[in-house]
Amino acid sequence: MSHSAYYDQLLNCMHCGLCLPVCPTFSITGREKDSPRGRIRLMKSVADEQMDISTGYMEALDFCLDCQACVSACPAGVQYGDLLEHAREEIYLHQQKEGRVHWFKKLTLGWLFTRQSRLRALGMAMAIYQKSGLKFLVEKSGVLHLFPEKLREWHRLMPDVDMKRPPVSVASVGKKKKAKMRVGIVSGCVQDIFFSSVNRDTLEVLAGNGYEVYLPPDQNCCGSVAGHNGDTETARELARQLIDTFHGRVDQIIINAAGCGSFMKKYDQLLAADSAWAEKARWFAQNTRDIMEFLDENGFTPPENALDKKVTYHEPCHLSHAQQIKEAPRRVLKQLPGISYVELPEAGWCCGSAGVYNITHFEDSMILLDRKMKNLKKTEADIVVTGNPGCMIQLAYGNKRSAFQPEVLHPVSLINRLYKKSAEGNNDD
Amino acid sequence: MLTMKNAINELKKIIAPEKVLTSREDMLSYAYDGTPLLQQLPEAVVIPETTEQISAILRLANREGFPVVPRGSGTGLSGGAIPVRGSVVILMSDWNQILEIDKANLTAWVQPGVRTQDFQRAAQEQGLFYPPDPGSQAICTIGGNVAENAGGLRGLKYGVTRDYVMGVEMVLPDGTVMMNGGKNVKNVAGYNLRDLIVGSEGTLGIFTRVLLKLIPKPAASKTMLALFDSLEQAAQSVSDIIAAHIIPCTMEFLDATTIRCVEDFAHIGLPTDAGALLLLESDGHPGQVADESAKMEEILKRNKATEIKVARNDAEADRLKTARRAAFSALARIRPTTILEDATVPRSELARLVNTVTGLAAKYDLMVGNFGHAGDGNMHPTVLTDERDKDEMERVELFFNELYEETLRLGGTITGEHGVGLAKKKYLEKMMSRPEMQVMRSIKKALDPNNILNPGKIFS
Ligand SMILES: Cc1cc2nc3c(=O)[nH]c(=O)nc-3n(C[C@H](O)[C@H](O)[C@H](O)COP(=O)(O)OP(=O)(O)OC[C@H]3O[C@@H](n4cnc5c(N)ncnc54)[C@H](O)[C@@H]3O)c2cc1C
Ligand code: SF4
Ligand code: SF4
Repeated sequence: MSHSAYYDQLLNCMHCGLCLPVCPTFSITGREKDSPRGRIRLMKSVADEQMDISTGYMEALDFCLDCQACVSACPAGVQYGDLLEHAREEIYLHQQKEGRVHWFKKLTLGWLFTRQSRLRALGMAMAIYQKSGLKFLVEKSGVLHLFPEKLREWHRLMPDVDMKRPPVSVASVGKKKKAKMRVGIVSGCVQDIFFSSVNRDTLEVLAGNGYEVYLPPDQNCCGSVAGHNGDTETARELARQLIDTFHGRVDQIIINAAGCGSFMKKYDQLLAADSAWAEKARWFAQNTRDIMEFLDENGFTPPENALDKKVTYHEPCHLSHAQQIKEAPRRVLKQLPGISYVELPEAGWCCGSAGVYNITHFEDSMILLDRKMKNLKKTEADIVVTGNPGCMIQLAYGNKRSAFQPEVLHPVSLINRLYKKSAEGNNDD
Repeated sequence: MLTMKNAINELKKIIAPEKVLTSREDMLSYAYDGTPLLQQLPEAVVIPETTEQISAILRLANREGFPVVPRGSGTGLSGGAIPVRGSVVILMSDWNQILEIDKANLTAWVQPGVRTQDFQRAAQEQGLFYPPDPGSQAICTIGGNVAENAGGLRGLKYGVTRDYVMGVEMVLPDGTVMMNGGKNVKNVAGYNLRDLIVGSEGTLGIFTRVLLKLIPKPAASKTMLALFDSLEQAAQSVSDIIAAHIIPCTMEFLDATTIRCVEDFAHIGLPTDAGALLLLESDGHPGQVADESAKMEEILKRNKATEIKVARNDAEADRLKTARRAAFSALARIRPTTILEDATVPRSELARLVNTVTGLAAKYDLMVGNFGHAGDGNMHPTVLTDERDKDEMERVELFFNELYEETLRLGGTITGEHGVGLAKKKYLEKMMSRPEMQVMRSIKKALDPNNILNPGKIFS
C-alpha cells in the first residue's frame, strides 16, 4: 500500500464508533486507544506528525489481535487490516533503523519461518520431547513449578506434534483422464507440523471428489507471519517462492488455514510494484480458495453414512472477517448427514489465538478464550469445527481450562471422517 | 491557581492514579467524537468510580478554574464531547450497570454508561420495550442520549429520549448532588426541571443515574420497504400517510446515493438504480398492524412505488433496520470527508426540504446524499467532500448556510436530534429570539457561575 493510499484510507474513517462494540480488545479495557477507531486515530496522528512512533503507539498496535471484526462492522468500508499491516511495516522499518528489532522477532521472522526445514526440525525436536515421555516426566516431576506461571501455561498450550505426515513423496494423486480440475494444496507451515492430518484429509477429500491434487513437498511459509509483523520484504520473498511452486501447474490453489488464505489472496497487492511478479501474483490471488469456500462453490459428494453428533462452528477471524467468508462453511456442514448443527453465540468473536497472541499477550488471550468456552458450553455441541490451525490450538487449550470439552476438528477432517465411515460401512462413531 | 500539572496531581488524590489518563496516546484518542473536522486534545481523561469522586472533581475544577467535559461513547455529531482547551474529560462509559428493572412500575434505573442497545435487550428479556433507538444504539450511551435528547427510527410514533426520562440523579457544576423526578407517572410539583436537564448537552450537570420509563412490548409488527423512481414520490407518500391519519412506528427515507452506499455495505439486495426508498414499520395489536399496513401499501402503490417488499420475519426486519442505521457511516465510502446535518421542518414541508437539498447540491456543485426520519420531518443531508480541497470546502460552507436559511424560512429548526454543541452554535443565534438566548444564558450562569462545565458548547 502506497503512503498516499494509506492516508486516504485513514481519512476514510469518519470516527462514527460503530466498530467499537465488536472489538475484543476494547471490550477488555474500555479505552479508546484499544479500539479500532482509536488505533486509526493514532495511525493518523503519526502520519500527521502529531506524534512519534512511541512505545505507547507500538503497544497499542501490538495489543490489536488483527481479527478484523472491525472490518465486518464498518459501514464506511475502512480496510483496517491493510492499515494495520502498513502501520506495522512502518514500525518494523523504524525499529530496524534504530537497530531495535527484538532478537526473538529476528529469529522467528528472518530465520525460522523462512525455511520450512527449520520449522520442521524444531517440530521434530518437539515431537521427540513429547513422544519420548520426556514431556510427561517434566510435567509430573514438578520442575515446571520452578518457572513463572506464564511459562508453565505456554508449555501446556503447545499441542502435540502430528507425525503422520501426508504422502509427500507423491506429488500428485487422483490423476484421472477426466479429473474435473487440477488443484494444488498449500501445506502451510504450522498446519504442516501440528496438524498434518488436516492436510491429509484435505488431500483425500479432494481426490475422492475427482480432483487431481498436487501437494508438493517442502513448501515454505506463505509469508503471513512476516507480513503481519511488519517484515514485508521477507513476506514478498516467501510469496514469490510459493507462487513459483504452483504457477503453471494447477488451476486453483487450495488452503485449509484461514490466516494463510487471507494473506495469499492479497499477494496481488503485496507484489503490485514488482513488474516481474505482479501478473503471476494476480493469478495466484484470484485462484486461491479456502477449502470450505471451494467445496461450497463446486459442491461435493455427500457422504453415505450419517454421524449422529451435535456440531457447532467457530468462525476463524481470518476467514469470516478478513476474507468475508461467513456462510460457506455453514452451508457445507449443514449438508452432512445425521449432524445436527447448532449456531455458536458470538461465533465471529475472536478466540484469542490470533497468531502468536496467546504467547505475547497471554492474560488477554485467556479472557477471550474463556469467553469462547462459555459460549461453546451453551451449544452443548459434541464437536466444534474451525478452519484455522491457530484457532484449533487455542480451542484445544481451552478444553484443558474448561470442564466442557467438545472435540476440536477442522471441518475438512469431519467430512473425511464421514467418508471413511462410509467406506468402512460402519455406523457407530 | 494551580498549574495543570498540579491539578492533575490533585486529581490523583481524588481517584486512583491509574484512572487518571494523561499519555499522549490517550489524549489523542479522546480528542474527537463523531463530529467531522473538529478536534481538541484534553489535558487529562479521568474515569471516576463514585458520585462523590465526581463531586470532588467538580469542586476542584471550580477552585482551580479548569473546564470539565463529560463523555459517553463519543458518537455525538455536534461536538458535545469534544474537549475544550485545557480541559479534563470525565469518561462515563464504564458506568454501565443496569441497576433495576421494576416490572410493577414499568421503570428502570440505569447508570449513564449503559449502551442503549444493551438496555433495550435487557428490557426485552422482561417482555418490556424501550423505544428510543438512535442509529448509533449499538455503542452510544444512555447518558449521551439524555444529554442530546436523542431520537431514532421509532420517533414518529414513540417520541424521543425525553419522553422516557422520569428521573435523573446528577452532579451539578458546583459539585452538589441533585435527584430530580421519580417513579410517579404524574408530578407537577415545582418547575419541570426534567425538560431542562434532557438535552442539556453536558453543560448543566453530570448524570450519575437515570430513571427510564418502559412500555409493554407491542404484540405484532410488520416491516416493509418501498422503492420509488423519484424523491417526490417518496416524499408525497410520507405526506399522504400522515394525512390519512396513520402514524407508523417508523417511516425512514433514503435517496439514491444513500441506497447505493448502504447496499455496498450490507448486501441486502437493494436495487442500486432506485431513486428513493422508504422503510416503514407498523406495530401494535395484530389487527391494527394488518389494517395499518394494508392502508400504507395502498398509498405507496398510488404513489407509484416500483416495488414493495415485506420482511418475512423478525430477522429479516432487523437486517433492513440495521442497514438503515448504517446509512450515515456508509455514505463515508465515497469521499474522504463526510459532513452531515440535521435540518428539521414541519412534516408538511418535507417535500420542499428534500427539493431544496437537491437544488442547492446542484447550485454549489457538491455531492450530497440525503436520508432521515421522514415521518418526523427530520432530514440528514450529508455532503461528501474532501477536507483537503479548500475551494470545495468553501462551497460546502455556503451550501449549509443557505440550507439553514431555507430550513428556518420553512418554519424548521437547525437541529432535530443531534444538538447544537460546537457545530451549530453560529446558527442558534439566528434561530432563537434575544429573550430566549438571554434566558438560556441566565440559567447556565446561575448553575455554573465559573463556567467550568463543558463551556463554549451551545453558546459562548
Ligand atoms: C452512525 C451514527 C448514527 C447516529 N444516529 C442518531 C440518531 O438516529 N438519532 C440521534 O438522535 N442521534 C444519532 N447519532 C448521534 C449520537 O449517537 C447521539 O447524540 C448519542 O446520544 C450520543 O451518545 P454518546 O454516548 O456517544 O455521547 P457522547 O458523544 O460521548 O456525548 C454527547 C453529549 O452528552 C454529554 N454526556 C455524555 N455522558 C454524559 C453524562 N453522564 N452526563 C452528562 N452529560 C453527558 C457529553 O458531554 C456530550 O455533550 C448518531 C451518531 C452516529 C455516529
Ligand atoms: S473504522 Fe469504520 S466503523 Fe470504525 S469509526 Fe471508522 S468509519 Fe466508523
Ligand atoms: S482487528 Fe480486532 S482487535 Fe484489532 S482493532 Fe479491529 S476488532 Fe479490534
